[in-house]
Amino acid sequence: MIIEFPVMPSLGVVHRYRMGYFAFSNNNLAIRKRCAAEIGMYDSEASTSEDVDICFRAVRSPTWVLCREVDMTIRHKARKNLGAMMRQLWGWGIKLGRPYAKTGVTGVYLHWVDSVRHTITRHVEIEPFPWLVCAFVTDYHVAHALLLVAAVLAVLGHLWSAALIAVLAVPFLWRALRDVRQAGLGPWETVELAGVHYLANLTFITAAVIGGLRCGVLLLPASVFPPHRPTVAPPE
Amino acid sequence: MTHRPATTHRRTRLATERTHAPPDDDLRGRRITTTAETLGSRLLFALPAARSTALRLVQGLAVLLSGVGPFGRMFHEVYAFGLRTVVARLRRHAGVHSIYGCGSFFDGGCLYGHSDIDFIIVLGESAPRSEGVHYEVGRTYERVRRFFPFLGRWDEKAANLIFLDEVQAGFPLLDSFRVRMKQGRLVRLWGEPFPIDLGPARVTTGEIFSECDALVRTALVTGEPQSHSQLFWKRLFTKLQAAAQSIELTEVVEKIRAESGRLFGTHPDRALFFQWAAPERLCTSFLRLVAAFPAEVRRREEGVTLRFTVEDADGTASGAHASVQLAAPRASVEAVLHAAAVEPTHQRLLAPVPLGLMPQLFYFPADRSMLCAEIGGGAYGSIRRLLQAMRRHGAAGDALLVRAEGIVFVVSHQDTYTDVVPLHPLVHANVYAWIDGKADCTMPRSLYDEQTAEASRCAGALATMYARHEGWVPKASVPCVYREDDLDTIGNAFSMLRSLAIVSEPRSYLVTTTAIVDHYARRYPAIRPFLADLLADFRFHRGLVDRRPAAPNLYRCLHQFMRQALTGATTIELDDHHQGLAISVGIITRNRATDLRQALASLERLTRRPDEVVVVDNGSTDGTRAVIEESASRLPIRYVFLAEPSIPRARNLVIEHASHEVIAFTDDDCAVDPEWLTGVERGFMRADNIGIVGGWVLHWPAQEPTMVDTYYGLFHHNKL
Repeated sequence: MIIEFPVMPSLGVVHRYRMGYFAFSNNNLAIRKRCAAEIGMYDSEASTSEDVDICFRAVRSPTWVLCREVDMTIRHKARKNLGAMMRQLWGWGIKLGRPYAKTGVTGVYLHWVDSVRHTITRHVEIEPFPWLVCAFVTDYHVAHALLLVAAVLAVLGHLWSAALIAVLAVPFLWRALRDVRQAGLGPWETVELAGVHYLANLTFITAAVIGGLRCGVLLLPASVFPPHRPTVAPPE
Repeated sequence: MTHRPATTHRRTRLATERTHAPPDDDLRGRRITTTAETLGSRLLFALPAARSTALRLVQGLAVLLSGVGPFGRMFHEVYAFGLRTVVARLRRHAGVHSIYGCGSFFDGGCLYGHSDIDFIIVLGESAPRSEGVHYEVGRTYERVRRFFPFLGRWDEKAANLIFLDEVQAGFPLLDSFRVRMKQGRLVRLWGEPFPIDLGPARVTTGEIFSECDALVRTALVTGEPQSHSQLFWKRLFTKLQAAAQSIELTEVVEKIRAESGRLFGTHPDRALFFQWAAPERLCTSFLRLVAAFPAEVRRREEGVTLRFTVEDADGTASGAHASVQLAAPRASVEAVLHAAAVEPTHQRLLAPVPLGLMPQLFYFPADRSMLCAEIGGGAYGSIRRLLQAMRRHGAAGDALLVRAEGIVFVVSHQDTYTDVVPLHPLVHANVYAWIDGKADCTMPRSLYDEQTAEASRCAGALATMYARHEGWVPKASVPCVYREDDLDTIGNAFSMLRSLAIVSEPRSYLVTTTAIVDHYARRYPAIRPFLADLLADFRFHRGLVDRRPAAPNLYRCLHQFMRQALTGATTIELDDHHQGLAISVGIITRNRATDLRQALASLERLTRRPDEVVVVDNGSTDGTRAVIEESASRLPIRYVFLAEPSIPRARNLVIEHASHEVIAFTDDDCAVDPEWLTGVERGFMRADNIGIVGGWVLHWPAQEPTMVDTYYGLFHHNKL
């Protein structure tokens, strides 16, 4: 819903996306009292996605603008272990559907998010549609879709076709793991990181799909990318 | 840096921004390769040679056939159908006000297969630049037009756009539109009549000069196969002749007629299309004819002498040659000159000056000297090579001056394209004089009057724009986050202030940012502290100093200052640029006493202290209360207890209990950076309708790093 126009300066083209993605996190968000009062305060039902929800409402209001300040920086601690991480991601994902459903927007919004450029490069918007379908498709999703088809074919006994389709999924997986490869870690650590990355994505996306369906929207979030941030001084 | 809502710095660019993209030929800089390009088109046009041959064949066939009885009629129908389709698709966009067409198709002199139709699309007030509707219009145009190659060169995808709201505000109207409209050469294809009065019905000298510049540019950037056809050049010569005729330059008209007769004889157009042309020779003779214009105008009309004083960092006059205080041109500019393999007869470094009297934001900023290369012969080849080198080696914002055949050009590289812009010897008389080492120049009286009137109208429009954006961010109709690029905003303001200093007496060339600030501080002594902080902030953004001045209201004051300075106010009234607002910090915590202690400790280190800290204890059972009480002596803490664990409710409680208008939330497992609240304050001070300010969440590494911790460090906090 809220987008920092994901435009490459070299492309110089602005897409007027009707559905964007969330930008501000609750642990670093400042709000004007009058704005909060006008848009109706935090939604007490939207636990863990209350930040997404309030930003969605502010951005859809006729007056209020969201602003990002470069100096406003915080440092956040990570979860201690894999279980805690997955619980956190599940919590984020499962409640993500509610703010989307609350906007009342309907239509089909399909976005292709390029894994290399980390930005939306293609999109389709069909507005006359009774429900909300909002998908940010990446290589990660394509790879899984192909693997799913391969599994179904294998079960049905079409082994060769299944193998062929599974092979087709490899380049997509390879691209999906590009950021992990570029992290500059040793071989074993890269494998370990890939595992964590994979599980995090799986948890978050599954949770978002389930949470979305519960609220009556079909929401498919993109797999997680390293964020674009301005370069700031290293921590003390 | 990448967003495009209606921010002032984007809007103020309008004064000189090209309202149309340059033609998409081989010299049009980095081509915008979108994934929308099909594989087929990529394969088909992989080789420029194959592409140009194919184009030539198709065109040739059309030119030949259109002379044969029924085919002429057929091509007419094809053109008409294409025209209808383009118009029908464009008018579907809600923001389009009207569509105009121009070209020989409408006057009957059309050579089917060769002649183009130019489209000018007027966007109404509901589609200002900030809304980005023009990108969609551009894409539609591009998509439709590629199916109708006969409507013009089929790689020509650019449409000319006019934003009605900008013209109404006072920004200059596209010159080609104005001239054609006055001469009655524009055909309204769809929409309402153009609502704005274009002034006196007669075309002015300035408008014709701008037409000439456009022709020169076309002559230089148009590549094969057009440039190898005699017809292309003949059409250029004819257009130049018409331009000279419309301002009654009889000697020039005679010269062009004679030269044209010598070069092209009396062959019919269809035959000329197939005759091979030598672009190098024709371009040289074309440029010489263009250079004859100013001479006759100068003879005909008395001149106004403009005297400039040069101010650099010391306030001393240093003359045209770059002084030691100026940075050298970027290495990439030198690399371009080297790669182009042009051997300049002269190469000099000049102190940067505004180009002409109109406000200019592009090309040559203060503090860096401009490079001017003089080329002896072969202007066509050299400039094309320079463009190609600029496209490969140039960085965004690079520019250099080139003088060839007596005409000065700016070769520049912008974000998405490379371009060459001719500077007219009379309109940009100051640049010509500057290159020759003189600070004074003369301009014909009528041109001077026209340029100053235009410049002051433009300054007025800019002032209106600053006033409109002062303390208010116009809301875009698409969901977006607003981010101000302060370097750009201040840099643009400085560019405008430099331009302003050369149109008002005493005229000054301000070649460094220090000189700009000193100049205006002398003119408006009361706001000296504001200007000093503005300069300090600018220097921070350029990486010259480590700290920003503590001036949260600087941005709004800049708007107030520009609004008044641009209208030539004698005194300036500003708010206090140190003015801030009271901020409450809100923290929600639950059973994380150790983390909370660290979070509160980070609040104590803030350079801008919080006015209040509201901590909501969401039913903790550990030592949270004790931690808060311990910090209470060092921070103005207010403790609120909420037994029921609910984060949204706790946040609402913070908002209710906070005694100040702005509440900055952070969490108990976070540490804020010392400048955190400075950022919050600056964000809210920018405009009254900024409701939410957000920032960046960085990783706080654990003491014993695990893979999960590394993962958070690399991928954390990016929910899409």
